Amino acid sequence: MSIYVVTGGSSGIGAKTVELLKECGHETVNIDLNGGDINANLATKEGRQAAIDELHRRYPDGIDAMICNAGVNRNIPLIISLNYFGATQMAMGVFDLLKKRGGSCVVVSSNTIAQGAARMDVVGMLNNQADEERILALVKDYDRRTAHTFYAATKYALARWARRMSASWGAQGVRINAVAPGNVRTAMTDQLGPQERVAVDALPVPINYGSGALMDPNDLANAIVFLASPQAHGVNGVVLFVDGGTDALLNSEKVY
Amino acid sequence: MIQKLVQALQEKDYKAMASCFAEECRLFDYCPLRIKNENYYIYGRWAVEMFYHNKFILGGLSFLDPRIQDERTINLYISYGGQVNHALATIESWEPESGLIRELVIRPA
Repeated sequence: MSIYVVTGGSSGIGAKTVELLKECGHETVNIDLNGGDINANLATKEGRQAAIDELHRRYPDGIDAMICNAGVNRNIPLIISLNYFGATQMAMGVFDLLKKRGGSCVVVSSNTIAQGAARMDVVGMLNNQADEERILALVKDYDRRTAHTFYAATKYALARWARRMSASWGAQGVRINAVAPGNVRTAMTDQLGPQERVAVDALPVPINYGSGALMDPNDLANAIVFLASPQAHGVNGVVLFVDGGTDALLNSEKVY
Repeated sequence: MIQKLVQALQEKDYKAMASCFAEECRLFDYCPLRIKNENYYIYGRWAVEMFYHNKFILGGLSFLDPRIQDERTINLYISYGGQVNHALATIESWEPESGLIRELVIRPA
């Protein structure tokens, strides 16, 4: 039995991942705002630190995997704080625990990173400056209708951060990879309005095309569990698109 | 078939556009490189439909003023997110029985 920590494990992809890990007989720790095994607001420094401290208290001998899944897509400051800093700070905060057991980390990015929507200036600030307070001060007045460009930026920066870290972490026995999901069916997507639905449908999921179906959260959970598992021992620094072929459809020429 | 294709392009009707193609078709567009994007290499009717579904709705792609030059060629402008290219779309081959397009190549004019 291994110990898997999942952020945002109360719903959507995170909940399916927790469910699958439990079915496999593993111990799971869900860190979420509410309803988690550890309740913490990962959009704040204090919340992250409290969660990291609690994990050290519970598992002084280490953990096997950290799955940074928690994220949002509407509120720009929250997007910055939770999607990027909530993932990177949590991963770095438990690196010593992962190292003790030769563990791995999986961060949940998005296939929107390949669709040209990300604000690359924000990506650069996140990856290279990583000063949360200053970045939040810069973005506080942006129109919330541009939230999707910040969402894509945080997910792009997160994938790039994982690749940047992978060599050093790998040399210390800890793998780190990213999954890039396509549009996934969640409680939120079940309630889309007509205009939002048109936009979602215009990102076809080839394996579901014609049915209007979005990606099944189980498909994501399976990929995450694989990447986190010892079976993926040779996989490090990879961004795995789990989108039913959307990225290949729209970016067939990008093979690397 | 070429008239049906022109109408589909004008109306941004990705389903009608795809229905002009054979199941195992190819569509190559060599114009995007001019605006520093990857060219398009699309294999299969379903891919044509899905690809242009995305490009027409979210990708800012429009076929402008398409004119039939001859039975194989359309002279047109293509707007890639606002950057307009003059192009020739040529039907390189088609299925003899059905007339469905096997290969369409779009080149800068």
